[in-house]
Amino acid sequence: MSDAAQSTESSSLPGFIRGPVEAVGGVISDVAEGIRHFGVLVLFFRETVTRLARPPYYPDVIMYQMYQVGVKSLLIAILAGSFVGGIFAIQINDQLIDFGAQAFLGGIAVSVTVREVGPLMIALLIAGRIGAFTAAELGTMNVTEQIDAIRCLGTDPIKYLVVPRFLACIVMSFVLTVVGIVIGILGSAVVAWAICGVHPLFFFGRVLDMVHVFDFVNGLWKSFFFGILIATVCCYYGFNTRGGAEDVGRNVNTTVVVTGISLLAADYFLALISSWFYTLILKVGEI
Amino acid sequence: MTAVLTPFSVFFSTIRNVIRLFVETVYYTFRPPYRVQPILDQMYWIGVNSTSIVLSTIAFVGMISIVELAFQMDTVLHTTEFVPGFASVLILREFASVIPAAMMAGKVGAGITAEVGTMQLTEQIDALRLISINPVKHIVVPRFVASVLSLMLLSCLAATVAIITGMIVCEVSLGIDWQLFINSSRNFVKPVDLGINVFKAFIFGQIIPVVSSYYGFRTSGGAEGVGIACTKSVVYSGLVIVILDFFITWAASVYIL
Repeated sequence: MSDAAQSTESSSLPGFIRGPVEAVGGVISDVAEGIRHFGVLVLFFRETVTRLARPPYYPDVIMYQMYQVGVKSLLIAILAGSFVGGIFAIQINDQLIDFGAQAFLGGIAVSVTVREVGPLMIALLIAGRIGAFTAAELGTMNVTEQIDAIRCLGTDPIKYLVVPRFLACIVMSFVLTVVGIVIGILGSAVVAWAICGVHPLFFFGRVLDMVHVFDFVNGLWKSFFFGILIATVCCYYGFNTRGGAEDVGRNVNTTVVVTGISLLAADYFLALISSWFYTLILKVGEI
Repeated sequence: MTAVLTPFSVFFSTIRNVIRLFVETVYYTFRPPYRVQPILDQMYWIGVNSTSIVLSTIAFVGMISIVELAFQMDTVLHTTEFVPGFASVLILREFASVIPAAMMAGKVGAGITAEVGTMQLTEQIDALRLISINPVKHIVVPRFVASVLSLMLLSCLAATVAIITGMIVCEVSLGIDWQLFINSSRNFVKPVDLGINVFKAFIFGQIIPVVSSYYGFRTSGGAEGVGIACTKSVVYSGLVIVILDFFITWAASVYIL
């Protein structure tokens, strides 16, 4: 291993060995860079959280950011939610119809929307709509030294720029997820009625047996977590942009990629935790 | 009255212009001269550079769908026997084309908008027109062809990866080994499911470059304008993908299955 690492420096090795070694080295250095970013990200998150409770508060800025994140995404959330609900109704119906189990369509569609699809869809929407924009905005401010100017004027840039976006993202991801879940359920009910021929009474008949209050808690808790994740990653990448206008573009791309992957990874682990919790609760309930 | 009608007229004129750009792109795609090298460059940029992100997201999607379906099947049918079949069908019909398309809309779509928008702001597109090079033929067509081809290939790869990670999670958390997984899937998955996957990727691959170059061409107002155009292109291409996905799913469920 060490021989190979040394001999790449001499570059006298034949290509078929040098290529793979360089590829492995590239992957290792990428992973190391990723770990470094993760560490700095956690520190950044800690810095933001410690400033949350400390005055001065900027209520106007927070309200403006909430408007930007929440109200302006509302129409898109409603459109996307209704169509995604419809897609899942059709897909689940196609599978259940072979078993003659259409009675469960409503229960499964509502449960999937509440637990998984609603929070994840809204999170991906916010990541695309707000995340990239925030990273670009903060990155441009950083590159044009506006953040240094804010610091010169004696204002804490994290307090003034990051905390409002952070709060707005968390609160609005929560609110939009509730909207997305409701619209998604309505969309799947309408599609089930119009396309799959399942009457709404039939659709909602079994819902209460199959959907637990815990499912709602699970979905909302997820949306809260996703909001924190999106806000932290996007503000971090925006805040740490160095160089020129090109680096802003590159950073926006990195932000979209990193938020996408980390959202889905976090969702997997949250799903594992929640299914574990759920069996625990069921067992406690049986006892 | 006009204040009420303005959003609608903007909406319809946007749709008309996007469709016009789409038709123009398709027309110039089939018109000689054909140039292969730009298409290959763009395929490297669009396809190869997004492979790692697409595959790592879809890997998690495969795992999530197994965990979630196991939960649902456990409450409904009180057995996890059918989870592999359901999961494979869902992955092939839905996730393996939509999730890569959504990721590409974020990564590639924003990239195309930023590139075209910068060209528009620095008047490079006007310069192209001046030397009588058609900007659609020169800029949009290579990205269009490359995006369609790479998304079709990536969706197949994505289905493979998602099913493999699903197999691993099945083995670990449900105790269903891979032979059982494949046997169980065989009862549910039909060859036409793979066709649906590739067809969806074919459609979504056309949407991303057209929508994002549309917003790129319309960029105005400096660096900030590029940021706004990028956001719009990501959001609207995602929205169009979801809406078309609904109609394709509907048509497939009525006419094919």
